[in-house]
Amino acid sequence: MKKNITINMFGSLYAIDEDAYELLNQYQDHMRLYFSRKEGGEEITEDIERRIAELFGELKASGVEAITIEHVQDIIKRLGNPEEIDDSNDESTSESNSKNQEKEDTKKSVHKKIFRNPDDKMLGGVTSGLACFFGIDPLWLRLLMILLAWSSSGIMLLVYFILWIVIPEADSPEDRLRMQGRPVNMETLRDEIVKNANQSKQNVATPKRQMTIRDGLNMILKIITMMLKGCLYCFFGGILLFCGLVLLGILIGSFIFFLGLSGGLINWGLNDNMQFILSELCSNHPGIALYWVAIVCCIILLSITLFCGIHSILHMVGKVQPISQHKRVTLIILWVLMSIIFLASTFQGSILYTHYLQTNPKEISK
Amino acid sequence: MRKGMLEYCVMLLLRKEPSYASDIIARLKEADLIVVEGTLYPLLTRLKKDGLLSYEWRESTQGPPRKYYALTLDGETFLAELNCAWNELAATVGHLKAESPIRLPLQENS
Repeated sequence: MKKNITINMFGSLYAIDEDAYELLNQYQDHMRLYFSRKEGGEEITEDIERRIAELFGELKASGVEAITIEHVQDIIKRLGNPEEIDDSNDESTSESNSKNQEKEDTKKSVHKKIFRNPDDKMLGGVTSGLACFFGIDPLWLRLLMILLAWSSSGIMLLVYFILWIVIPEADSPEDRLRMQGRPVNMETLRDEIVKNANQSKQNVATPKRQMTIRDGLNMILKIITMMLKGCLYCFFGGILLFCGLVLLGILIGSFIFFLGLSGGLINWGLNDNMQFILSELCSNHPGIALYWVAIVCCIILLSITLFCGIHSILHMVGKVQPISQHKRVTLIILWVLMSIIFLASTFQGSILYTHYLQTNPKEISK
Repeated sequence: MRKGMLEYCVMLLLRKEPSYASDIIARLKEADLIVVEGTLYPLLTRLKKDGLLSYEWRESTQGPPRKYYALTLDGETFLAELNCAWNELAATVGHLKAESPIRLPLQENS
């Protein structure tokens, strides 16, 4: 069973398997990239695309309902790779060209990246991916992991789960190539796509019992990781919400504190008092400006925390994209800055105010 | 050498009647002249750029409109020159072959 998509080529619709589409797309990208350096290259690419559409049309007319990866492979063989097609170079220059290109390709693809390996996995493919990265047999690493999990009384398991969550799965051909540290260029990409297609076909042809057991386990683990992730987000979101509520409490508390300072010294519970406080807030005496600063800071802090808290919970539910790295850093810096200013200004403001009240007792009794 | 040959043959085909790329490919395949089909497209683009060919869009009964290539006047004169060159070449080669006949494996069969 394969996923099938419909593509539109020059106004005609063709049903094509997903892997075949991937291969075709890659072929055309290759073509485009190659001829983009040549004069009239766009036209050549377009002509070739037309030809592909025509061949697809022939297939369709001959009763092929869905274009498979084999069909695309045939067509590519028939039309030829851009290097074979190109006639503007004589042999020597084209050779040096391709050599240069190879050099570029290898330069570009030296970076090996850690991915979880979806093709060879026991649980999440973490160990297998790590083994791929360090170039060792996954078996030894697996044994080591089990040993560590046993001797570290489960801490390793936690590490494993964290790695599982943190390391992305290699789910595109490019990722898989990068995981293996192989050069990412047109040929290797194409090989990878075809290889993957064959593998999935084999899996369909010979379903193993072991597979189903592992699949079940995988399913459970997937649910667990999802829950774990959810818990993690909930946890952070909860912390943020809690912080927000604490801040709100502080805001209200400090307001009451100031009320108490200013009003409590005289009489409580009178309309006059409210008027007094309002006029007091608007009047100029030391500390009041700082109090305003504190209020502004507190509001900003509150909004940041509430925003993050709500955002992370929404993200867990899957409604929104996570906040980007830059935004996150900015928000954290802003948060820390604001809390410092808030605390400092409240502290300083209350000191100034009490001092002011003590030195001007007449003001109060007015 | 092969490239020049292909160019010559394509122009010969186009002098007979304007045709579109897939027609040309089919004809060349009949004549065993082309291995990878894609080769034709850069060639057509290049000839067009040199002003030897021109094309027009024609509606087709099936599918999208097609590009029909035809020889321009420049193309005609160039083809005439090529014809002369080819005839000379063929004559020379024929002459040399007649002097020292090569036994080709194909000829042995027939």
